[in-house]
Amino acid sequence: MKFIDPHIHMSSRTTDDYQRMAAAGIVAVIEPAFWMGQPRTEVGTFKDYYSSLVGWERFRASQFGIKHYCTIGLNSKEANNVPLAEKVMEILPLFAMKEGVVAIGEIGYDDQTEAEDRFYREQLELAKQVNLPVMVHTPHRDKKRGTIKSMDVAEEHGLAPHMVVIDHNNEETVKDVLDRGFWAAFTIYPHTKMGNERMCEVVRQYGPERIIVDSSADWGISDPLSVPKTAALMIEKGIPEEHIRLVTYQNALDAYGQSGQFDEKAWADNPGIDQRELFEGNSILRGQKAQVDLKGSNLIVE
Amino acid sequence: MGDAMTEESRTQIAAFLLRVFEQSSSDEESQRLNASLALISQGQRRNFFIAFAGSARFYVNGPLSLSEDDLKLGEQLLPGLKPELWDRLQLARILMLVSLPAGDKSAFLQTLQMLFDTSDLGEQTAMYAAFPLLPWPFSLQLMAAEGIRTSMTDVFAAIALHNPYPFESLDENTWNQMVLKTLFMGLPLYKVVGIDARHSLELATMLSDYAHERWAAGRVVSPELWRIFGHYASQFETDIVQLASSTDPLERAAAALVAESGKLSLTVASHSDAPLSPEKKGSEAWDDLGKLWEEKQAFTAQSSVFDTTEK
Repeated sequence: MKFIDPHIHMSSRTTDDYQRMAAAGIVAVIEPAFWMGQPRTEVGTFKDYYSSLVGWERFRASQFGIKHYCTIGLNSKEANNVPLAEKVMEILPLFAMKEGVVAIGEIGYDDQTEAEDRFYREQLELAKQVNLPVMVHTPHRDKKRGTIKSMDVAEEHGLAPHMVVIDHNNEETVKDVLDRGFWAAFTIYPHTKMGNERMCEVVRQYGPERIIVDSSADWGISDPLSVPKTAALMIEKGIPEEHIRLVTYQNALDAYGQSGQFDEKAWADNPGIDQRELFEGNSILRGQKAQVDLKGSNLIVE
Repeated sequence: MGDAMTEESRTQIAAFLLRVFEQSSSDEESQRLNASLALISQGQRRNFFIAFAGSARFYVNGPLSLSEDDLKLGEQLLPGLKPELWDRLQLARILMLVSLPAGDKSAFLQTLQMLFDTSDLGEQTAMYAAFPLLPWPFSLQLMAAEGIRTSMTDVFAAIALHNPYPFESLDENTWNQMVLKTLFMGLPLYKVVGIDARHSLELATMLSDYAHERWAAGRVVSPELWRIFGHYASQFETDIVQLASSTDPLERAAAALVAESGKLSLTVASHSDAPLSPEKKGSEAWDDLGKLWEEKQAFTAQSSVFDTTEK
C-alpha cells in the first residue's frame, strides 16, 4: 500500500520522522505554507521560507525516497499584520507557479477577523488566476461557523467546490462540507483535533467519497505516521480496502492532481509497503534501518 | 576579465541547444519557447521571470536524446558539458538564461541574483549548469560558491560535475573546497572537469589530511582521492605505501597509478583481481577507476536504502 500525507509541516520534523514515514509506506507529502510558531516580521522571511519549501525541504525529503510537494499562500494567522500581509501578497506569484506547487494554501480564517477575510478573498482570486486548487484551513475555535463561512466565501468568488479542499474537519462539519461538493480533509492529531478511531466511524457513515486523511504534523505533539496508522486501524476495523486506499491515497491525488503538478508517475518506483511483508505487525522492508510498529494499540491516535 | 565567450559562439551554442530541444517538442512548446527566447533577448526582466518561473507548467519534462552527430557537435561547442544528461525542463531553462542580453553587465547580474534568491531545486540546478555559457564568468564566483556550499546534492552536482565553469573561473581556495566536498558527498571525482589539470600541493595536503581523518575513524576512503598525487608522490610517499597494502583492489590500483606517474619505486602487490586494464594510463585509467568505484558505491547504497551512514 502507498500513502500520501497531503498536509504535513515537514520543516518542523526531523530525519527520524522521514525514515519512519518512508518505512511506513508514505510515498509523497504535501507541505502547506504556514507560520513558524511565532509571527514573522519581515517579508524576507516569508520569501526565504517559500524558497525552502521548493528547495531545501524538497531535497531533504528526496533523500528518504519521499516526493515532497507544497502549497504556497499567506496563512490566516499572519494575515492579521496588514502592512506585512500586503507585501507578502506581492511575492506570492513568484512562487505559486513553481514546479510541485499543488495549491494555494493553507488559507482561511483563524479568528475570523476583517484582515483574515480580506486576504482569504485575495488569495481565492489568485488561485483562480493561476488555476490552482485551494487548501482551506478551518479555524480551531468557532469551527462550525468558520467552516461554513469559508465555503460561502469560496463560492462567492466563483471557486468550484471540486477545486477546494476544506481541511481540519470533524463530526460537526463533515456533512455540510460533503453535501456542498467540497473535498473534506481530516487531520488526525492527538488531543486537539481528529482521532483515528473516530475517523473510522466517519468513513463508515459517509463512505470514502471526497474524504482525505492527513496528519498536519508540526512542532506540536503530533504524529507523522497518522496516515499509515489510520489505514492499518481501518483494516483492523473491517473498512473495505478500496475505501482505505481512497481516503489515504487516491482522493488526495485526485484533489491536488488538478494542479497538473502532482502525478503518481513521480513515485512509480516506490513500492510502498507490502501488507504481506508485515511480520508480526512490524514493517521491516529489506535493507531498511527504520522499523515502525503498525499493530494494535500503537495504531490509535486520539 | 570580461566576457570569456564571444557573442558568435554563444549564438551558435544557443542554436544547437534549441535544435536539440525541438527534436522532442510539440509545435506548441516550440512556438512558446521561441517566442519566450525572442522576448527575453529584448531585455525586459519581467518577461524573463514569467517565462522562466512558468517553465514547469509549459514544458513537458523528460529525458533528452541526442544523436551521435549531436553528441559530437555538443562536445565541440560545449567542451566539458554533457547536455545529454540534462532533462527537457533544464534545457529550456538553460536556453532562457543564455538568451539574456549580455550588454548591460549590472542588469544581467541583478537579474541572475534575483532569480537565484527565489529559485527552487530544479531552477537552481539549471542555473548552475548554465554557468559556463554565461557572460562575465568571474562576476559569478560568489554565486558559484553558494552552489558549492549547499547541502543539496543535486545543486552541488550541477556546478561541480560535468561543468567546466569551476576549472575556468573559480579561485584556488574555492576550487580546493569543491574537490574536497565532491569526495565528502560521495560523488564521482572523475566527473569533475579539469581535475587532472588543476592541482596544487595545498590541495594534496588537504586531501591527505582528509584521508588520515577517515582512516583514523575506520571509515572508507574513495580511491579517487589520490588522483592528483602523481605530482606530489614523494611528499606523500607514506600515504601511498599504506594505500598499496590495502585489501581493496581499487585502492591498490590507485596506489599503482600514483607510484607509476610519481616515479615511486614501490611494489604494489598485484593480485589476480587487478581491476584496471594495464594498457590504460593517466586520465583514462583514473576515469575507469572512478567508474568502478561509482558502481561499487551504487551497489552498496541499493542494499541499504535508508542507511544514512556517511560516505
